[in-house]
Amino acid sequence: MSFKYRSRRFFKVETGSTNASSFSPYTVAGSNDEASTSDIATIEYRTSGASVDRSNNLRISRFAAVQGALQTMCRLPKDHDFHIDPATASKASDLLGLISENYDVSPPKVIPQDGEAVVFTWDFGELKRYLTVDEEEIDVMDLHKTRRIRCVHEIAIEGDHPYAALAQMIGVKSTSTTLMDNDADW
Amino acid sequence: MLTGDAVCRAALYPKFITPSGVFDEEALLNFAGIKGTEVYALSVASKFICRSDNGVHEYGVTAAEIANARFREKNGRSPEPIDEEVHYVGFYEFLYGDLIAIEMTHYAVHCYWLPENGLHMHFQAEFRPNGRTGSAREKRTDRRAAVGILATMLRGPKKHISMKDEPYREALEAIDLPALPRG
Repeated sequence: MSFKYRSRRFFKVETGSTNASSFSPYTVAGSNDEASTSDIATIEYRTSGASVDRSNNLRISRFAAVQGALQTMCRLPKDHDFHIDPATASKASDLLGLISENYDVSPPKVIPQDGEAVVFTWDFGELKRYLTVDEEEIDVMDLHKTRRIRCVHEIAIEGDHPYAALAQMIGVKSTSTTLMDNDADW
Repeated sequence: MLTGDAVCRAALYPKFITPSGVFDEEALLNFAGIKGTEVYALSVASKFICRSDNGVHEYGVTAAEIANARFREKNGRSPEPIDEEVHYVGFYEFLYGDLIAIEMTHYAVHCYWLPENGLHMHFQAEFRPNGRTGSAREKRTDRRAAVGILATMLRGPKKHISMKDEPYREALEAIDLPALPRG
């Protein structure tokens, strides 16, 4: 049985609504070099639309905050430390939507990498997992903090079965009994 | 600098807060690329030269003022407090010896004295290419891992609100600066 990822609902994320900080520090005021509005408008921000119960609300809103962060990051001036290009933001948003809907994993932190890639991170105590997304590739790196050992997996988005490969790399419990094929929407 | 010397990284709000609104030590330790080179650099201060925590705070306040002066120069107006202005709220530290002991595949780790803007305690930590061949992707991963390791070495914070920022004390004290290392 094959699975094709479909987002079930889209909604605009209110930046900062669920943040630990009460501030919204990344305004675009004062910018003379913003990404164009038309670039940003092409990005769909995906969040889970699964049946919502109270226990799931917090998780959904935290994933939504990360989606909102991606939107903010591509609107920042190109010379800003947190700027990412809209195409990369779109890829990262799709991948985050897929993860939130299909895996029993908590929302990641998000940081940019050199303006050209997005890095999602999960902290599992001694182990830290990095999922780096750019326009063409996905890298998964597990870093053992005290032993300083790293394990890196490189995945080509356009290659064969990228989602199946990613699922193996992520190695978290799936909330779906279906499999993912290689023609899912990006 | 000796291996047991403390290296301090100023927490300049909002540079260590990710756009999703949470503290991230890897954002605090953002090694920025130096234009025209393959070198990545992070500004730090020597606690030995600063003499004390208060000395480090003076460095941090000045660093924030420099960032805000750049904003004024670029935009022709003063930054809005909290929303746009850079505020120094404290510092984290790690040991010089721990930093230079980080093993990288494609870079060598350096940290050297680089006084600038009148800040004689300013040092620059750098990832410099070591000549080993590798793809941009491999080098990116190498830098990510090194920052991840350095993040585990952070100790702190030592918090501070400057006299200038007193009107915004309540807001600035509400900023999440977690105790590191995490328990």
